Amino acid sequence: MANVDAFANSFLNPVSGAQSTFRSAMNALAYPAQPRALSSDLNPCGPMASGALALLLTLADQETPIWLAPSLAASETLKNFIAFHCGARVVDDPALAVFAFLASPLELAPLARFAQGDPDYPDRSATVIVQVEAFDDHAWRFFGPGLPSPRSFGVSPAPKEFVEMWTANQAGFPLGVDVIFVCGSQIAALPRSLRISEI
Amino acid sequence: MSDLPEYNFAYLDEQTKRMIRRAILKAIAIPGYQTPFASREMPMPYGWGTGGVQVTAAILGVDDVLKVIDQGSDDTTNAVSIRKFFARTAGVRTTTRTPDATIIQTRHRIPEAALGEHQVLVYQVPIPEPLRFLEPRETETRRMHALQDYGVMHVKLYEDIAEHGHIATAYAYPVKVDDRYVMDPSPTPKFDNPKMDQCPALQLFGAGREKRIYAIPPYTRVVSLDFEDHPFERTRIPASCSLCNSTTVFLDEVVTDDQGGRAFMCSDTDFCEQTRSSTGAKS
Repeated sequence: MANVDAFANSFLNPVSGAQSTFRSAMNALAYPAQPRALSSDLNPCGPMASGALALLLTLADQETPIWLAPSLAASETLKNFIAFHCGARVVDDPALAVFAFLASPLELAPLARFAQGDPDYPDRSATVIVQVEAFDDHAWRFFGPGLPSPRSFGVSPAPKEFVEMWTANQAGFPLGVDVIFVCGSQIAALPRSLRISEI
Repeated sequence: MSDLPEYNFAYLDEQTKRMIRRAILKAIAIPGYQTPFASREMPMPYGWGTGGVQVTAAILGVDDVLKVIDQGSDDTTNAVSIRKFFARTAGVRTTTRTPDATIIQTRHRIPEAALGEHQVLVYQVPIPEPLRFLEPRETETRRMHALQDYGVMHVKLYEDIAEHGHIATAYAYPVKVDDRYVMDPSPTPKFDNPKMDQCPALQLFGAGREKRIYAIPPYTRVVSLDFEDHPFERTRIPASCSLCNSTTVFLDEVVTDDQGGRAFMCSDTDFCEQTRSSTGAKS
């Protein structure tokens, strides 16, 4: 029997809730590698935190297959929530997903398992939304579109060999995936256009 | 029932907004790339900025302050009707002052005042494909962008030089974004091209009839195509505004009588008003 609370859990105002969440995500991608505010009046749903849930409601619908990391896919409550609120299909093959949700940055590797896009249509690629425990500003150094000067940024827990992983993701530009990190009431993003270097 | 709103906020339904928002996020992540989107029929004809209107509707919030310009002017038909459209369907505040606006929808000009990080510039685009007049097939232009096969664009600019002695393209002057995609900046005068480079504001482009959205993220390198021996030149009429006397801005030529009389004045009406009120020039 599904939990009734999961069905009641939605934006207080669906129109302005989705709009403000989208603007946070848009600004996070436009001004990348820097945490900014993400307000969400949602309750967490099973293993999915409030911020990731807000992005799910804002961006996903019947047109966007979703892939859940095993730690999230284990939650029937979450799957019921997605079916009820988004009408989105949850797929087993990560390459078919428009949005992939991860409970931890340690689940990022390998990025190549997600849809990379097509040379003629690089937009047909996945956006990976990752819950993190904390942001820090001394792990990696980024430069590229959106940054007037190189910027330090990191997440914790930090995935191993992230620099190699992101270098490979960037090398395929314009193919690749875009990553959005969510931590509590903050959001930060790494579009595929961003270049990385060790500090 | 009478207290129900006539429209959803900003006219579009929520499913349409989600589809446009997804396209905008991909457009930002791939600077200069034309992202397809399922453009809707809008309550205004193609050519009136349906692409820009849909982008604005998808990003607009209750706290936004909207400015709409048509060729730099706040008070021409296109600008007035789009501003009224959003005042009616979204109830947002509108302004003509560039620094006060959080979203500026524009047809074919970039404001003279410098833009900031709190602002988004939304362009109305008629034909988003810079290669379209050189190669009519969409399948081919897609492939040319994929392979960065942009030689034909340089041939076009070269033919300009061979025929006229200089690059005669004066508007919709092609640019290369972040050293990857060649992009049409919409029919802005090439005078405005340098303002797109390293701009602190996000720039979004919407083409309604052609169903494409593209973007220049803030602080992104935007280079106008040129040749070493024929570098890009920013041209303007060598005159001053007859209202505010500005000599550095883009000017419109206005016919004043049927005797051949003409005057030049600022294309950016807000800039002109602000200059006049601060210098006390005649109005």
